[in-house]
Amino acid sequence: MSHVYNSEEFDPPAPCLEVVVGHPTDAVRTRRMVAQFDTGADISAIPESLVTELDLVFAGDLLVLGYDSVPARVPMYYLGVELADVRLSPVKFIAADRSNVLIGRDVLQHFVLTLDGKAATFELKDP
Amino acid sequence: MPHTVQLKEPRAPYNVTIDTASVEAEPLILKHGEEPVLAVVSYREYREFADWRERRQAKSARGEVLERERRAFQQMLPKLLVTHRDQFVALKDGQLIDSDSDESKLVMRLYQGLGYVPLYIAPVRETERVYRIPGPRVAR
Repeated sequence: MSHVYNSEEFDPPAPCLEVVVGHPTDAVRTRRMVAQFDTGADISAIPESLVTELDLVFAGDLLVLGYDSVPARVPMYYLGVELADVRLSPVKFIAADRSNVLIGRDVLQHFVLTLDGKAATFELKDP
Repeated sequence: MPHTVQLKEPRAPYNVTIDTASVEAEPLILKHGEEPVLAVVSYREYREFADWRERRQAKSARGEVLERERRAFQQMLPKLLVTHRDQFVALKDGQLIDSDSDESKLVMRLYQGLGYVPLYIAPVRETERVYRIPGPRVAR
């Protein structure tokens, strides 16, 4: 199934898809959110506000190197994530100051992601 | 610019007229002499601040617990490198409670056994992994 890049929030348009994130063990406590795919990110991230909304608890911490190359130690959470009709759980996430979910290569490695920049479309499927 | 009102004491104790519509737009600063002493904000803005403060306090408390668990892990690490090298270990309240070579199995076993509680799960390695999230997003 082909998806259209998100051109409303990103310039140039970016591959985004609606995903469901939530508790690794409680299928009720979930949120449907827009996720941006980032093949440059080693790990995935959720908006910081979700920590409170879903009452998440930390499961450790990670040393994360951001764009400024300054390493920061941040709490890590395990969540379930559902995208392209596939549910993965538990998946490591960090919380970040952002409004959408960021899906890094730790999740993308489970899929075949085909980007067509010219047509601003992409396909994501579980082989 | 916040609107300022000069407090005077001609009548006891103070008299100030507050226009709730303008307070909604910007804070009302009350001064005693030249000294700003109070800021009046809308109740909506106060609730937002109170919620933010509550979240910050909760985050700070969580951070302290996480830091204690991390210190406990760091203290145990030399021994764990002998007994649990390349495995994932789980600590709770500074105590080693479980381990597994499969991270997912360990996490699900703990959440099913203990419930969804704060834990400290980490791989036992000589060098800590650094995760990269390089993409800054420029505001449009």
